[in-house]
Amino acid sequence: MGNQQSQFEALIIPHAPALLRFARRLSGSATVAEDLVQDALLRAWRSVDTVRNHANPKAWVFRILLNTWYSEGRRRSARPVEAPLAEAARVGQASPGDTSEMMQALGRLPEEQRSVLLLTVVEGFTGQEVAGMLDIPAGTVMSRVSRARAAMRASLSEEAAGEQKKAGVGLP
Amino acid sequence: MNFDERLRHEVMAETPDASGVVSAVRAQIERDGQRRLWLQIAAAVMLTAGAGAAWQATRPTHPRLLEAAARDHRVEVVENKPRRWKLDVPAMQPLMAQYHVGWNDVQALLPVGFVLEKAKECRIGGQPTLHMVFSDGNRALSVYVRASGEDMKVEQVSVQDADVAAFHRGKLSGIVVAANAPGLCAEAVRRLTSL
Repeated sequence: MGNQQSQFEALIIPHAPALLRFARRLSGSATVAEDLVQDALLRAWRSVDTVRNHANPKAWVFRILLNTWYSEGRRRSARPVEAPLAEAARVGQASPGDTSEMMQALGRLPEEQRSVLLLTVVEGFTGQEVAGMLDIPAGTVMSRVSRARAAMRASLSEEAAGEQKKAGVGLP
Repeated sequence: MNFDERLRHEVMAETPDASGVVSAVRAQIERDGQRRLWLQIAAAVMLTAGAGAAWQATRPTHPRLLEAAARDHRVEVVENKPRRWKLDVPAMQPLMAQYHVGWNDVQALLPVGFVLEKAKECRIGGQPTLHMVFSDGNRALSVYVRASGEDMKVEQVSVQDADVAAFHRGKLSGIVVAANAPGLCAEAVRRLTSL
């Protein structure tokens, strides 16, 4: 128990904020994210003895979180609609102005693109690590990242064009 | 700032407070640990109780009574110490009747080749007991019938060189003893309990 506890505290708990941040962007709900991270951490606790077999404990616990998310997908889909992303933004202290545009564009991405973008660009995992987490080829990961970037850029451009248009309408 | 840097910067600017989740996880782990501890304690208790029950099931129900009967058989039958026995059937029958033992019972429980040799009243375990001795000329079998008619569990043990078995059948309950006669005690109990 002592060794298990110390491994858990040293290797897993430090990643809790990153897991929560990712879970909120993945689920779009602060409440769902907290439940998801709690379930994932408890699953990690039960098999923490095996973490030393993994080169990257952070990748290991993120994989557990994703497995928890997908294994509970059916149950989740049967639930009422969860608290909206706006709640996450409020609780997550999203930055105002263009930051929220970026976050809104991210939120509009399909889940499969949003997750790979967050895992690679934000959390810094390699394509190979993300491929291992999602059980998909590394090439698929990279193509999803490309499509996600393109979709976000397009979304942000549209947003900027709309703002300019609105500003133009307002001129005398 | 390129697109990736901007995205990373903005997402990382979110600093969600994970302390609540971590506290909940630690509390759950604590509860799991306590439940596991209680389960271990419960398992140990059940194991101990099971071992106790197994020991209880295998130990004789009336060990002192069985030992007393074996001792009595050795002194009065094997060593043939002088006692006032009733040796003829007319003298034995009234005594047997006091213990609800009919002549038909005696005939039925006799092992093949054995005859009722003698009977007397004695005390086993402080209680009045009918002691009948059956013999085929070489081997002797003591049948002790208890006046109390208490419900005795059918069981057999060895006391030194004697086989001792308790029996219970209808109104009859008691003990059978045979020394240096392998199988005789068990055969007598089989006959007694199938009467």
